[in-house]
Amino acid sequence: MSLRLAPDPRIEMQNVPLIYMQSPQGDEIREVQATTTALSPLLSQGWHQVPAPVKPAANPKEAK
Amino acid sequence: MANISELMDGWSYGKQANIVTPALATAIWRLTNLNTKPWAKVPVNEDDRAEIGKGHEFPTQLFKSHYNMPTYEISKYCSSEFLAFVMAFSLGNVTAVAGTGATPPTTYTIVPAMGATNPTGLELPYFSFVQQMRPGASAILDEILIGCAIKNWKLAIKNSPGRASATLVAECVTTGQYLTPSGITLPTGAQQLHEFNAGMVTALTINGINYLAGGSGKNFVSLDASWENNFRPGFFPGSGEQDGFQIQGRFEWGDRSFAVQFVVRVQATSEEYANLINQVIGPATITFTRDANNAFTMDIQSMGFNVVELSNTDGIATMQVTGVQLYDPTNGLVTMSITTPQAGICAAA
Repeated sequence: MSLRLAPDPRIEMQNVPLIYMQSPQGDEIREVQATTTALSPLLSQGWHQVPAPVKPAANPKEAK
Repeated sequence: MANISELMDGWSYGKQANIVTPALATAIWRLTNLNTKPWAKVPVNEDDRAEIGKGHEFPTQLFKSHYNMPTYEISKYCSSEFLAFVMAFSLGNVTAVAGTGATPPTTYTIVPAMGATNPTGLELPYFSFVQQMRPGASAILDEILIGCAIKNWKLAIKNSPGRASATLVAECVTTGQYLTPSGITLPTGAQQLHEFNAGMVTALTINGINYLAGGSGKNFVSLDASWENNFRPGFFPGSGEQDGFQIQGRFEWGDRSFAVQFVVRVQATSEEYANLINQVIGPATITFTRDANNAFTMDIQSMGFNVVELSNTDGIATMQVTGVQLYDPTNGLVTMSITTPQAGICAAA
């Protein structure tokens, strides 16, 4: 009998990746843990995954 | 002349940019199919038999009407890749996150899209379907069907040995638009998927009853779950044409339904009948785990029992339970979680 060590994908872990979710109105982007517990309520309300927002480049003049 | 065993099927795991743009070849699998038939194309002609003015009742002319494309079943043993594909394209609201490690799997979390918030309204993602027999200069069949969608699926888990103990059948529709030759070179061999069997069920709890451990352990016989998108016909002004025949330009879901039935052995302490009488509701979870890179969980957020019926399964007294899946105001109806080595499922292609 083999021992299965695979994690249940629903289990929240310490090193769970974060993903970005956008509200259905498009007015809010939230960084959330990619777990079923965290995602189910958002997905069911119409939130959807979006790429990580691009951080504005630092202004070189200001840096000086 | 060719044997049907020469038929090669492929379909895109990436979604089309829109209903009329085929997916890129780089996002197309070549896979096996338990359904041995090709997807038929059925152009329909009409005639003028009902029109007066001809001087008789007989038809005199043919007119091109439309492509009446039949539905087509992709039938496979359950695997992490195919489950992710079917759930993503049939339910619509998909998140994907890559894992870690040398060959990181991707975990998809999928729920049914809602019309009020879905970016594409009542439409689900579309995929492309390739079928070929001896592709090349003397091809018997080489075409790509564009604008395919999953109308329904049926997941069956049985108490039998082998891969047949867990099967998934997706019934698909297509618009009638196609390209021939397809222009697609399918991989040399069909991709090997990471399949599940019923022995890999590692969690099975329905409405508070654990069927893997405790008093109800070893009592589970089978489960059938199904989803129906109930698409409306997609003919409308501007829906498009192929070879002069009208084609469909959209597949919009109608009243969707999610059905779950299961069979368990009867014992003195069976709780199912009491749960029905007392209208007990609770979540249901079924998990398959093959290894760290291949797992599937169906989380039904709230479920009660509609019918509990005594029956006989191979000489054993059983109960057939028909569930009613309730929409939870916080977590929705159902959440599918799939971990699979295949990245890019339902991503733009």
